[in-house]
Amino acid sequence: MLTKPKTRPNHNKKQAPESKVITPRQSGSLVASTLLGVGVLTMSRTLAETVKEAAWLVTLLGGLVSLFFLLIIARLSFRFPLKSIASYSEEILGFKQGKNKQRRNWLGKILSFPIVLGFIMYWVLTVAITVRSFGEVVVSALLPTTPLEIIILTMLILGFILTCFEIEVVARVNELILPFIAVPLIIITLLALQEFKLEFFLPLWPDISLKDFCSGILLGTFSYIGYEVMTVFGGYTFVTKATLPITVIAFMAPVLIYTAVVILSIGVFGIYELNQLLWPTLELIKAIEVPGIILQRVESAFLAVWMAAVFTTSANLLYAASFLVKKVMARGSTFVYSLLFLPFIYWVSLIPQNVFTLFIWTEKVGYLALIFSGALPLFLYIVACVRKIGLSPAKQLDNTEANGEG
Amino acid sequence: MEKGESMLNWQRVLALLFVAFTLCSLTGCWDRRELEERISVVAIAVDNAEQTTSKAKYAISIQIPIPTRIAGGGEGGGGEGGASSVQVMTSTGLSLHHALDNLQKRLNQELFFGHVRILVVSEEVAREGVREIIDFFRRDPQVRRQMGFVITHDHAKDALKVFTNLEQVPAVYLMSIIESGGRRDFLPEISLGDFTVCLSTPFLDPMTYYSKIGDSDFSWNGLALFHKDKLVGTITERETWLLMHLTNQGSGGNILIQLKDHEKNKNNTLIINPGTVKTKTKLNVSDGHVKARYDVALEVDIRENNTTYQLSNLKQLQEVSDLIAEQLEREAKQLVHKLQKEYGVDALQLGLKLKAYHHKEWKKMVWEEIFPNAHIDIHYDVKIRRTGLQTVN
Repeated sequence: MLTKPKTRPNHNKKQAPESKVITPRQSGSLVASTLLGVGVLTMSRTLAETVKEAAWLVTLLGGLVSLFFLLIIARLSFRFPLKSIASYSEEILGFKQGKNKQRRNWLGKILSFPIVLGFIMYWVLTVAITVRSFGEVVVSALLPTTPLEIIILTMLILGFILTCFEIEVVARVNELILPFIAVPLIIITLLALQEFKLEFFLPLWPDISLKDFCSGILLGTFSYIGYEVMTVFGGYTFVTKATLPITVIAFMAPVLIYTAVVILSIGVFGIYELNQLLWPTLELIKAIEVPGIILQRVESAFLAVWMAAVFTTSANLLYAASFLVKKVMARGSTFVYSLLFLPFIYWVSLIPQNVFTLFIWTEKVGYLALIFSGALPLFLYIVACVRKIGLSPAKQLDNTEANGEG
Repeated sequence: MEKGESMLNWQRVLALLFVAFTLCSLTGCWDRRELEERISVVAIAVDNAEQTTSKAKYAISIQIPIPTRIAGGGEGGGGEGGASSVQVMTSTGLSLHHALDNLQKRLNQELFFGHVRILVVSEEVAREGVREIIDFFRRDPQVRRQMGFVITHDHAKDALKVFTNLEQVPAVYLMSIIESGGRRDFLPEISLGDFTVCLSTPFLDPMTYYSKIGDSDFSWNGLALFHKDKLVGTITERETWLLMHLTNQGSGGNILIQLKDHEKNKNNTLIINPGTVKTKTKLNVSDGHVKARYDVALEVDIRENNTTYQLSNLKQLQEVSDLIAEQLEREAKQLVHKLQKEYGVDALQLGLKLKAYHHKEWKKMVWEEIFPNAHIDIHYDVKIRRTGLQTVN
C-alpha cells in the first residue's frame, strides 16, 4: 500500500501511455461491460427464429466460440505485453526488427494500416448501431414523444465525455458500472423463473438441420460483440497466464447471463410468441409480477439501468476507435478524434429508416465482427507464431511475476 | 492533492461548460405529462356495433375514474361510490383504435392506456374473432401483459357499469375478483399475456374467463375456449375446476357432490374442498396415435355433509371418497369428451406436452386433427383428509 508499485499509473503526461497499467479486474470488467449491451434485448428472438428451442444452446456455444477468439487476442497480448493492436500488427506484418538496428518499419505501417482502419470503421459502425438501437428502444417503449435524435445525441455526448479522460478512468468507470448492469439482469432472470414453463422450453434438441444450427451459432457470436476492445485495452494491462482466469470469468459471466435470459425467454413465451415480440427481453420483464404493487413498471426501471450498459458499450468502443486513430497518427488526444467521429456516427445511426432495417444492419455488423474480432486476430496470431515475432512462450512466463504487483 | 495540477485550466472551463449544458438541458422530462393532463382508462369493453348505426363494426366503451371523487377517503361526497366515481363513455368505429380515436374527439385530455386493468369482450364479438381487438394491446408499449381479459355472455358494456359498494371503481372490483380468485386457486390465473402466448402458438388454444352480468353484479362463470382467435365454446366453473385438476393448475373451488341416500333413495349433498392436487400425466405416442393417462391425486376436506354417511366410520369414509372419485372421474371424462368431440379445443394443452416430450412424433402430426381422436384416460384418487370438527354424521 505504502510503496506504489512501479507499474502503477502515474500522472506524468510525458510518459508513453502504454506503460500505464489497469488492474486485471478492471480489464475484466471492461470486457464484460462492453459486451453487455443492446444485444440482450433482441437476441432471444433472432436466435429462436433460426434454431427454435435450441436458442439457449446456441447462445452458450456462440459464447464459447467467442471465448476462443478472446483467448487468441489474449495470446497476442502475451506475445506483445503492454501493446495494442496498432503496434503489434505493425510488428507482425512488417520487417523483423534486428537486435540493435532500428530500421524504419514502413512495410509494417503500410500493411497494418488497412487492419487498423478496418477496426476503427467497424467500431464506429458498431457504436452507431448501438446508439440507434438504444434510441429505438427508448422511443418505442419508454419516452414516445422524445425525438430519437435527442436520445442518440445525449448518448454520444456521454461517450464523448468519457473519451476526454485517460484510459484508467475508462477502466474505473467500467469497474463501477458493471455491477449495476449485471445485478438487475440476474434479478430479472430470477424473478422470471416463476413464469417459466418447462414445456415451452423443451425439447432440448428440436428437429433442426445442422446447417441451421451452425448459422445459429454464428448468430450467437453476434451477441458478444465488444470483447475485441481487448486488442486496445490489452495494451494497458498485463494479460498473462496468471490473469487469464479473470479475463475468462469476466467473459463467461455475461455468457451465462445471456444464456439464462434466453432460457427464460423461451420458457416464458415459447418460441412462437417470442418471434412476434420486438424486444423480447423487455417483454419478459413486463411479464414478471413483482410481489406487491410497489413496482408495477419494472421495465422502465430496467431500461434506466440498462442505459448504463449501452453507455459502456458505445463509450468503450468510441474510446477504442479514437485511441487507434491517435496511435496511427502518433499525435493528438482521444477526445479530438472522437469529436471528429461524432457527426459521422450520428449521421450513420440515422440512416436506417426503421427498426427492421436496423435489425438487418445489426446482423451485417455481426458478420463484420466475426472478421475483426475473430478472423483478423487469428490471422495475426498465426503470422506472429510462424515468423516468431514477439515474446516466445518461455519468456511470457516471466511476465507473470512482473504482474504480481499489478 | 495534485488535482489542480493535473487538471489544466481549459479543461476546467470545458468541464464547467458541460455542467452548464447538462443543467440547462436536463431540467425536466421531455415526455412529462401531469396526472390531470391525461385521462386514464381503467377498463375497455368491446361490443358489436348495432347494425342500424352507420358502418361501424365495434362499439367500444371505456371506464374512466374521476380522481376527485375517489381520493380523500370517500367519507364525504365521493363516499357513495358507485356511478359518480367513474364515467363510462361509448363510441363506435371500424376497429378498436378507430373507436378510441372517435372517442378522443369528445374528450378534453389525452387518453392514457397505461392503467388499463381489464379488457371485456362480449361473446358475440369473440365468436367472430378477437385478433383485431388484441392487436392494439400488443403494440402499445404502455399496456401491461398482466391485465385481465374477460368474455361476457351479455353486453360487455354492462360489465363497466357494475357498481358495488365494495370498491369505488368497478374495473378494480372486476379485476380483484380475478386476482384474488387466482391467488386462492378459486379460478385459474390467466392474463392477456397468457392469452396472446397461446394465440401465437399454433398448437395451443387460448382460453380466458367467461362471465355473466346480472342487474347489479358480475359473476365468474367458467372459461371461454377459443380455437385460433375465435370463441368456440364455454365450460362451466365446475368444469373449469376439473380442468384445473387435470392440468395441475390448482385445486379449484368447492365442489358439490350428490350422494344417494341409503334409506330414502334420494340425493343428498356433500361439499368438498379440494386441498392439494397432484396430477401425473403419462403420454404414449405410437404411429401418430396418442394415448394419455391422467392420474389425479386429490386431497379434500369435507365442508358440509348432509348425507347419512358416517364419516367417522372408516369403512364409510372410504366408501364416500370412492364415490367422490367416481363422480369426479365421470365428470372429467365428460369434459374431455366435450373438448375433443364438441369443441375440438385442446384446453388440456396436451399439444404442448407432446411438443416437449415427444418432439419427433409431434413434428409428423397435425395436432388439430389428432387431438379429437386421442385416447385420454382419467383416474381420480380422492383422499379425505379432514372432516371438520364434528364427529357425528
